[in-house]
Amino acid sequence: MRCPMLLTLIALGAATLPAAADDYPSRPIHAIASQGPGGLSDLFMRALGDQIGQALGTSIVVEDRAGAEGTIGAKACADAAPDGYTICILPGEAIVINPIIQPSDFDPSQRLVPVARPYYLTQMFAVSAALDIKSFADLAAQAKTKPFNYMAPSLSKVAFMEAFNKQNGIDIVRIPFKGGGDAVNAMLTGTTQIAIFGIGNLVSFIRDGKIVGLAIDGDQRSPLAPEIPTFKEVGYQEHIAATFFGIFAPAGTPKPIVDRLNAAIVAVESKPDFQQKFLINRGLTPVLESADAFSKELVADRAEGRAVVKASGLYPDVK
Amino acid sequence: MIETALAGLWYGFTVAFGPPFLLGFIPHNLMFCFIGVFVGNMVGVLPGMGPLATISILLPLTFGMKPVGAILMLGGVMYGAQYGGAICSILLNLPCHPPHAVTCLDGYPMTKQGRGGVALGLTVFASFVGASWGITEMVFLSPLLVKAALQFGPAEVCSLMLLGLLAGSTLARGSPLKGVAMTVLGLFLGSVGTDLETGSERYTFGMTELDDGIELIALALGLFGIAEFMNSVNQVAPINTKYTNVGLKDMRPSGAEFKRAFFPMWRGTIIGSLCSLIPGTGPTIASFVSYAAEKKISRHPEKFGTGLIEGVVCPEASTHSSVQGDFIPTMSLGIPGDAVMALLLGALMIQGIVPGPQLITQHPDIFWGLVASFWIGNIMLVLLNVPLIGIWVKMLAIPYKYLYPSAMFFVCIGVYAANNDFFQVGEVVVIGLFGYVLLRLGFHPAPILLGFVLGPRFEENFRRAMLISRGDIGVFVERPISAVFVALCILLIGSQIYFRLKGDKPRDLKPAGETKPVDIPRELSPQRVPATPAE
Amino acid sequence: MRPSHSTLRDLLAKRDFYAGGLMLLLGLGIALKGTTYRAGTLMHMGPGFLPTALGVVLVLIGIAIAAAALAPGESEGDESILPPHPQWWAWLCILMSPVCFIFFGRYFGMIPGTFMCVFVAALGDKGATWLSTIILSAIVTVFGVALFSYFLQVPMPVLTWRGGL
Repeated sequence: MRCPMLLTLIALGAATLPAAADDYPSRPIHAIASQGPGGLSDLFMRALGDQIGQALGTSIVVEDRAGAEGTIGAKACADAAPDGYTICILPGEAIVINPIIQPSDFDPSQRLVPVARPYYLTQMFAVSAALDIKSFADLAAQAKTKPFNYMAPSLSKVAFMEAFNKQNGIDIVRIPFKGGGDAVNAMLTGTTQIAIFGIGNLVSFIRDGKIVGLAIDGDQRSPLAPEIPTFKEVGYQEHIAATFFGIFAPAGTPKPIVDRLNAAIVAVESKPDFQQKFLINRGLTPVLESADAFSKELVADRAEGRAVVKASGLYPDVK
Repeated sequence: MIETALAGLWYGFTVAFGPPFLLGFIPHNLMFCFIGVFVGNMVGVLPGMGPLATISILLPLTFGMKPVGAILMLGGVMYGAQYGGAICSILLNLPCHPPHAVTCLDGYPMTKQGRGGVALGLTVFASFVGASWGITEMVFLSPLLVKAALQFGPAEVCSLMLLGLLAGSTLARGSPLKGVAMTVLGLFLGSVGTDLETGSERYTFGMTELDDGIELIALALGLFGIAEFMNSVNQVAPINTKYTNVGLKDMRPSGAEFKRAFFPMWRGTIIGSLCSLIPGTGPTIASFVSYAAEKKISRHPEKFGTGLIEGVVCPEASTHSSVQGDFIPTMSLGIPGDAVMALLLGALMIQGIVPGPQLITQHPDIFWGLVASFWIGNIMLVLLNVPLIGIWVKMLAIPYKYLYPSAMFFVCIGVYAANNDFFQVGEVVVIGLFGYVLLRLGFHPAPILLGFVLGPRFEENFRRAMLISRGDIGVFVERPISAVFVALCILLIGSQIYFRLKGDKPRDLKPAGETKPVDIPRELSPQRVPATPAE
Repeated sequence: MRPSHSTLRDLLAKRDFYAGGLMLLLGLGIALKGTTYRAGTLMHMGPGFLPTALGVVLVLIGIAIAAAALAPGESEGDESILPPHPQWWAWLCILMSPVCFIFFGRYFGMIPGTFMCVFVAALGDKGATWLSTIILSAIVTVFGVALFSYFLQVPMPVLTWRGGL
């Protein structure tokens, strides 16, 4: 929705006036969640909205605009008035990868400004425990004789697997899955032996001994499964882009408002009980960084994105 | 094993009825269970407002609650919504969820004959029977079912779906050929949007809004709702209101009707519980297959679709048994079958509880409390719905000229609310017009929905099976479970052809009756009255 | 096919002939568009594989349905495509009702959207009068907006002015 849910003319008057940062916010903020009800970002925004009242003195109304892997939500957000009363939470792919694989006249880097990066989705490289694989070397050795399959929803992990295949002269086949639940099921039925995805879906099976984790992405180990090393620790030095979610506002939103929002979000995320409940328990790693730092990293991510898309081999048309 | 299950169940009831108490005497957990089923039931009546959106809105309320109360409430929304879903299907031909599309086939004709109350009453009863069986299964058989479910790889799921599609396409009245055509069309409509494996767009014609495919609610409400309004407007007195002013006890189904409904109810229940083994699409395939099976074994298959009570209770019992069965893999393995179940697991994770195989041993209060609450919740739903039947039936006393414009609004807002997007409302117009054309050409829309719901999962599993077998199509007959389903498919097609050939070529089954499938008003033509001009 | 003794006119009056024809055309369209997508191999199936196959199946079924219509002996009964009393005006009203909902809802908010949606739909009934239609629309609007906007929190502005224009 382009216009907030408030009574007519008052809303209209407020929207057309240049937003003043000092009396911001004076009405509820609309947050567009791009994954549909129940998605990671939808739940996170609802939890955040629940808490942000104390920091900002207003509430967050979550609107679900799912579709096209975040592009629909991103467009709806970019079309809204840049007054700080509409923000959106998007998966990193919607900003970094989608414009590369589906070039269109909508350029999220021009139409949206970064506000905050609330969390990384910590992903784990997991293999079925029935195979008795303890390391990447075991895996490469077994894959020489057995027909293995893998699933990985994020492109950077697909790129990693393709490189792993080439390096070891093996052919582990990618199987596409829609959701993590199906993929766990496939690991338990033994049809897909390897999965690289969110640790939240996997942790109980690791504790149960059905699945073995070989490595996780990111810079540090996860508090959910501290015994599993990072990719770096097991010797994969090259950068594997982590999957993140970002909060954005329409381009043109005043800088003081962006900073104000960022500070409020960081303040809520710094609370230990919020962090534990809504991030760590769900396999998410909190990021506490300023809007400026986020923008800088986004630029780097975009530069890297094209290389990742090419390395994944999924989009032969991308030059 | 049975003793442990019974002990667990007893423990569950103590959790549900036990402390903490509100105001000293209202059991806290029980109250949340009631709130859940009540909200779910009410929201389930409205087209478009599914359990997913409702749970998502209620979720922030649970952040401050104890985990048991929270999961009882959110689970209640899930199965409560199923009770509500049948109401619009029977009274207005508006299926809010795909499984209930089958209920429309006989439920709406019953309403037109003034027996909507009977249909609703027996539906509530059938739902309870189905759900009770689903719960019993969860208590006593879940380890067994989990083992069985783990035998289902992509090849098995694929063959089972093929069987469901074939069985489902013969369920509507009219020639089987037309039913197959509708199933194929539904499968195609399901393939519109972004391809899962390669990410390329299919048949979207450049519209970003179609990237995620055609909206299911728009398809269901367009094909059934709008097409039916176009069919009924100004045509006949579409609903016999003769019985709408009588008291509740006259609405009660007769003993004979109970007797007729009894066995179909149980057969539907069993089929439903088997179908819950396929995660995600369980209830849809269950209701279609159980209806088709009921029609096959019936002594008067030609009467299905004209308002037969068997055709209402059997898919409903099946849906409910399958919905409760869906909780088995979710709770005992931590594998969510669909988005609603994933959301429930997410709610548990926020509470710091890791769902998975150890849930029963580590958090028995949650598992057994939830199981006990299912039973309590289903009894509450029966008590809630029986008095409501009178109100729903009274609603039909509203003249059609007021009823259908109001229903148009519910269709529009329901489709809008599904994704908060006006584009989907536009889809409804196109689909509604197309649906009416199909109706006039003698096609029945129900198999389209079946194909549409199963299509993406069928394609996904087919392609997955091919990837895993490295392109060997023989995998479907090499794996024993899959081979059984393939054999059943061949048997089904063979029997159709055999009966076709056995009878005198075109007139095997009273062709006149068979080729006039949809136009119920025509069958009611003796009662036909011109629309009354305004007073 | 045995030589049909019905004339072409009779044939064209058969509903199943059109039914089969429609399926044939749809199938043809689906299959032709499907060939523009990559079909892939049996192991790595492309996005075009299944839809193209479905289109071909639909063409075959369409031919079968139309051929069955050629067989004599089924012409008794009502075989016309239009119902006995076509309701062009009412049909138009029903189809325009969501369109009004989209236009007014999008640019003016939920109250005008709801009102116009019900109003236009109700005009389709032969017995509709201006007054009864307006009263009905007003009642549904009050009830609907209270339920969906305030109670169920559907995100649509209640009232706005040329929102986003």
